[in-house]
Amino acid sequence: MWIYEKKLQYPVNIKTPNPKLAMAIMSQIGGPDGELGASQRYLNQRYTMPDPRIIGMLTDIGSEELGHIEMVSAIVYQLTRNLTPVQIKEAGFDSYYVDHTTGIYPSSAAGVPFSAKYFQSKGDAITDLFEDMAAEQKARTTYDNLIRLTDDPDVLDPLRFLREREIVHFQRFGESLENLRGILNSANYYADNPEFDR
Amino acid sequence: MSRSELLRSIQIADFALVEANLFLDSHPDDANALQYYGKYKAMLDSLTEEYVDKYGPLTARQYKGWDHWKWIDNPYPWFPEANR
Repeated sequence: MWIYEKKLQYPVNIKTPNPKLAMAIMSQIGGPDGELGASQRYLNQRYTMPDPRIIGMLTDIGSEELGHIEMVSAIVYQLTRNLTPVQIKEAGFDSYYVDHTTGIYPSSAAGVPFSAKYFQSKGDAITDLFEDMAAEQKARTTYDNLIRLTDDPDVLDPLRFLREREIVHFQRFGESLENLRGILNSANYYADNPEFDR
Repeated sequence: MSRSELLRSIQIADFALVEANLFLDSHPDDANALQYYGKYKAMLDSLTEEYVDKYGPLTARQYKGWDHWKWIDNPYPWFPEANR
């Protein structure tokens, strides 16, 4: 189970609204490489993972990703506060506003709703850990792309924090893959599914 | 410390624990990491106790017999004023 803590992992305090930028950043909530998909990828892969160290890693990184959904949601929320209809139209935010007003709805930058199709839980430890490492790199690239789109220091600060977390998680999943290889039967040279075939 | 200063200190100590936690998941017998975790856990515990006494709970279970449900009082974390 989970217990909610009434704080962000890292502060978000944005003074200037920017609904166009908010629509782009929304992708890190509900887009193909966003935090919602990340959390569900790791938390769902845990159950059949054959090593307690790696179950711990998936649990703890998956839980941290839930906190990242909240951070990115805080960024989007603060970028879309106190908007006038004119600002909404000028920023091209009207396509989002008409369906969600300024509510947070997990979708990609292009408005595609979140989908479980964005992640895999393959039931094969090697396969899943490679997916996880790739996912961290894809999310890092997305943060790089977002960072190029703004010069607002209030937005850059939490985006840079989140980008750095992708790099740390990539490193930790890399260690998990090494730990997994360490427990494989040496006869399992090609690393056939160690969750299923044993 | 003001509410926001104390909360920032809690976020810093908490972040040290998140980092050490992930590292320990893949290195469960690393003596330095265990010592580091213990140090920041003690720091976080004492900061949290100060925060709860002065400003109210960060989790509902930190209730301390108050005659008001303080859980709903402080600004929710996504409001800018919660992060100043």
